[in-house]
Amino acid sequence: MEQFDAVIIGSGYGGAIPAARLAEAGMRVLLLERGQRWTTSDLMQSDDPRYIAKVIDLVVTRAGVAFRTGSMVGGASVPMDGAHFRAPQKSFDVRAGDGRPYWPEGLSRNALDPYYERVERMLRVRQFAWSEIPKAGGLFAKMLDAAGASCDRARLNYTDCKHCGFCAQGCVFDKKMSMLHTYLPLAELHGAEIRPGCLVDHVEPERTGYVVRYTRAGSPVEVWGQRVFIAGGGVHTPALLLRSKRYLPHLSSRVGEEFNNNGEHGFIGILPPEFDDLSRYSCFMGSENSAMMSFHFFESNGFTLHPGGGLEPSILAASLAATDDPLVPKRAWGLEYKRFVEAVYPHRLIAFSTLGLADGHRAITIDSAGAPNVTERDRTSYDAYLDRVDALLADVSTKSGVKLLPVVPRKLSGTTSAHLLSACRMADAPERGVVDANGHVFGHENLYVCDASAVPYALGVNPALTISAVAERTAERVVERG
Amino acid sequence: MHSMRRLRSRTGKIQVSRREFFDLLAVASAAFAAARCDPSMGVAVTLPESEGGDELPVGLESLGGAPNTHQGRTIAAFCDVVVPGKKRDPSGAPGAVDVGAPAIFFDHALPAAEYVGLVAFLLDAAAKDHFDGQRFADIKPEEREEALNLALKDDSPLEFAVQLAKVAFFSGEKVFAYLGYPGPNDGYIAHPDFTFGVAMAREITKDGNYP
Ligand SMILES: Cc1cc2nc3c(=O)[nH]c(=O)nc-3n(C[C@H](O)[C@H](O)[C@H](O)COP(=O)(O)OP(=O)(O)OC[C@H]3O[C@@H](n4cnc5c(N)ncnc54)[C@H](O)[C@@H]3O)c2cc1C
Ligand code: SF4
Repeated sequence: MEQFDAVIIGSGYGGAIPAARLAEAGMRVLLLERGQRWTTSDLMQSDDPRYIAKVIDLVVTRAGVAFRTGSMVGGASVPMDGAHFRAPQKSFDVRAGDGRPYWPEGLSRNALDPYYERVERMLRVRQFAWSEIPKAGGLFAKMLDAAGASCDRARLNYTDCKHCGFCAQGCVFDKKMSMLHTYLPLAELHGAEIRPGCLVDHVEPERTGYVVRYTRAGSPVEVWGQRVFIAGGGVHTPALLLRSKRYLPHLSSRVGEEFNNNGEHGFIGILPPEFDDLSRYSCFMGSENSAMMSFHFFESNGFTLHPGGGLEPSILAASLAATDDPLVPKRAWGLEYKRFVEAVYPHRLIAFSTLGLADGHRAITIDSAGAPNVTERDRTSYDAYLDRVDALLADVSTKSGVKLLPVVPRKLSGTTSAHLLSACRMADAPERGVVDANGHVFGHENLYVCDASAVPYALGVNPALTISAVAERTAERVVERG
Repeated sequence: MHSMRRLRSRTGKIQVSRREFFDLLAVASAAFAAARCDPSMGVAVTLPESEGGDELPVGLESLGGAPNTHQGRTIAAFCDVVVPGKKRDPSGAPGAVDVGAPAIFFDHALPAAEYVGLVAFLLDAAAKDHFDGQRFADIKPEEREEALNLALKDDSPLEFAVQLAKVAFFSGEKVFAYLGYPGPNDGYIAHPDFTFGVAMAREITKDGNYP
């Protein structure tokens, strides 16, 4: 059996970062990724659902929800929308029902700042100038301004972005500093091996390390790692641990339990005709992330507003909540609906989502075949969060004249989610979480989780930078331990 | 949903429980709505294809790429209700059938093909209940609208089919032209209407990071 100092599963932010840092420190690193290695020329500016399904893994569960996660070498860093924010201190201060903070002791904004900075340098994250903000972002800001609210320019890892609007398809112009451009080449430079097409089933302890069992081209393979890092993303990491459970007797019973969609809930805004010179606004112009962010409600109500851009017509395929407004047809189909679409596309449409410090309301479980599933949990607290959001946005709508419609009905809130956090969360003790403050799985030496699922709770801002900072810190601790 | 009970007893071919089946369809609907993607469902539902004539359903000029079978005609008639086409829209703008949306239902690269039989069955059941035992493709377009409206009243799996018809419509190239969406492009950064170029709101952070 091949042997490595470290075997890393998954090559998104959570996998690529430790791969680079451990290889840099001289360790023999193997990175296993189920997806393929794409080059820029494989990417397409395509709205075809069949193409998008290859770039993003849409995890459709039996419980009525679907999540978007990474599916190739580089994980979701390839199709993501570029927003990279540090989490505010308030996010680290949130307390659970038992009165104790979700984040383990020693982790705070201050403590993570050096790691944030390291990642920002690697990914060339910077705040956009007003001259780089597409009109979709400008009109979103204008809506908030009309409602007396603030709106800031966002921070992105795009260099010389051409604003074509196809970020979620992967950037054909090579303007996005994904893992493929940053940490993965660094890992390879230092001798790490990236092995695509390897689907890991489970891990089993052997001697002081672990056997990792995977299939490649349909054949079973096993390798041994002195240390193993699980970074399959927010849904697949808990599933992998649950499949490994019978070999990991001390695994916390919290695996999958605190799954959290970061309070993500989408809205479409229909601009009133008199809002601006709308004939000169086209919602498809500009990057998929229209490069703004509103922190206005964050201090008081724990949520931010994150606008989209580059809007293609299928944004309208989602259901419309029937309202009493004459602008919105009663049915989301038929002739009246067709007239509605013509009236709003492309000059009167904006879209955004809330991100917030909301409790989870679903757990990741596995079915009898070991595939990830979602089980509904108590959603009282999540619904209360949506009530707060709805009330405040109703006020924004009244003051600005922008009609706001949820993208999906409330029962499916989170369905659009790509922010899949906390299902193997960090905590101070195994009764409360799955890994400790250093990403180390409670009860199992040399086994680590360092991706989105380790982030202990919703952040209220886009999570990639925090996932990365935590992964940098975890890697640093492992290198220090030797 | 009495139609579903009837369906089970008639064919006996559905391999999953009714509850689970509804969940799956809700998921499919969510999936399409959320991500414009292919929900890999992994559960096949096979319903027998019933015989039928080969005339076009009333009000349609083509089947939009669907096969000329009973299911094909039913799905085409359905797509025409979801987004009415040239023949019924006084503006002459293309509809779901005109852009080939019905074909997507039968594309085996997408799991929707597995549901076609069920969708057709539910539509027929709705038509039969409300229009004297007639089949969906055989009633008039206005009656189809009413049948669909009634069928959608309670959390019906037909919601999924409506979403799919819309996704198929909105991804059609003819629709891009009609709605003025250019699709692939070299970037708009230099376009005169790309940005306002000035501050549009008050900012509260120093550099875009909230402390
Ligand atoms: C369209 C889209 C837009 C987004 N936009 C933003 C944004 O603007 N800002 C932001 O902060 N976040 C954004 N996100 C979220 C962000 O991309 C994720 O939070 C982040 O990528 C998570 O990193 P990760 O390493 O945990 O998982 P991923 O990036 O999902 O990587 C996990 C990798 O593991 C692989 N894998 C999974 N299971 C196995 C297995 N069993 N064996 C082998 N390999 C496996 C997967 O194929 C994948 O490549 C977006 C996500 C999407 C999909
Ligand atoms: S908008 Fe910018 S980052 Fe996004 S795909 Fe186009 S050029 Fe790349």
